[in-house]
Amino acid sequence: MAYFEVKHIEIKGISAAVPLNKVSNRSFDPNDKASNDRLIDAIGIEERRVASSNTCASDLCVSAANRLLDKLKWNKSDIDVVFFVSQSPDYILPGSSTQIASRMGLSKSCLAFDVNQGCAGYVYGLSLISAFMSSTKLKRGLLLVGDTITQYISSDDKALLPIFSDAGTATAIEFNESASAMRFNSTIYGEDYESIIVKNGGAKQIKKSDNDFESGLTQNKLQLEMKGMEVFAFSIAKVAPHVNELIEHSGENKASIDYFVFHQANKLILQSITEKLQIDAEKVPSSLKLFGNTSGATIPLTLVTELKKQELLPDAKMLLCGFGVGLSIASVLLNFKGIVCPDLIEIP
Amino acid sequence: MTKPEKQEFIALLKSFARLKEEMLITEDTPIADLGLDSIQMMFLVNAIDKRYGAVLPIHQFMEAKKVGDIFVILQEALA
Repeated sequence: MAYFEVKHIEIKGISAAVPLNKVSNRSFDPNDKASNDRLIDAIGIEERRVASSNTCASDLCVSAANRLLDKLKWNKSDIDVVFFVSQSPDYILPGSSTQIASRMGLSKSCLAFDVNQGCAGYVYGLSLISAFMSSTKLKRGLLLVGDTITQYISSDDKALLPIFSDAGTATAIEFNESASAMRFNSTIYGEDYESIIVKNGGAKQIKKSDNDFESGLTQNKLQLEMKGMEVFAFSIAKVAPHVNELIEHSGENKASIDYFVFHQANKLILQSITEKLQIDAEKVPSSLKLFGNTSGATIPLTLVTELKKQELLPDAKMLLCGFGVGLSIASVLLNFKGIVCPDLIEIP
Repeated sequence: MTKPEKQEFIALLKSFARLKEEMLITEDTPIADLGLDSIQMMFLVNAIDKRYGAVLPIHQFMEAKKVGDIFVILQEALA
């Protein structure tokens, strides 16, 4: 395990933005209602949010961030660092974080970093920005995590279409000498990198042409491929032991943790992890039904849609855990206190 | 972990099959005859994990030809 603690950092606010466009799995197969019902029962996803072709993850994140800064009454000039975590950046290069900083009107002296991570990306991003700000003592930062992963899925891919959805999120981070420590754990299984992959477009397979379509396949090599059964088996076998490691190493016990917020992969995976950890299902919020799997955004989106009350998240001990692409798992134990949480933003 | 018993395992497998008519399932029954789609396979792997305490190695599971092959894979996973 890779256990580490980060001190003097606290989350001040979390916000999320989704496309207004809803796509229902009830009409996934217009001619087979029974099949649609069975699919929804298995994966737990009734509705998904799908971005238009001219809306990027960065756009959703910027909307979420601007709303959050307004609510917190933070000046844009106060932001010292921004991390953008995504697997659907605006371009292969340059990274999106500098453009985001510019579009938001952040300071020229703001540090800007891009992180290529998906399902575990929120916790990875939180560990990076927190450790960076803790060591540098920079005062205020923004963690932006989002994906428009539906833009990478073939319109013929009946396995992936009903699962994935789009969202962008923003988390406001502040240096505070008296903040309680965040405790992280991460595990990687890099040998299984092909389990979730977009094969072309990077330097390994940079060529892009119509020839990328393979005979008999319904997708091209610039689109997402996922070995669903392998990812499923990985999730039900590896996540619960990883979470138990973090809890045991932290000297905590499950009963003292108020909420366990997992990456929203699918219903059966969440149920399996919950049962293996022997935790009360009421402590495991889920946004799957109306928002599907939004890649790295699922954890903050679930916080915003399922736990927010009157523009605040509950003061609580939280365990957040992301898992998937890489393959990778990352989790964090932390305390929430007075976290501002604006209403969900819907982008036309 | 629970030691698997073959007939009970076959009964578990049968409960996930989509059979067009009642048929006898033995260790020689081809997996293809069970009519398992990806959702059934997901539920089956989960059920095997819950019953016996082992997640089947998915590569081997996907390549299994007969019911008996899956039983052997499970036994090896539990060994």
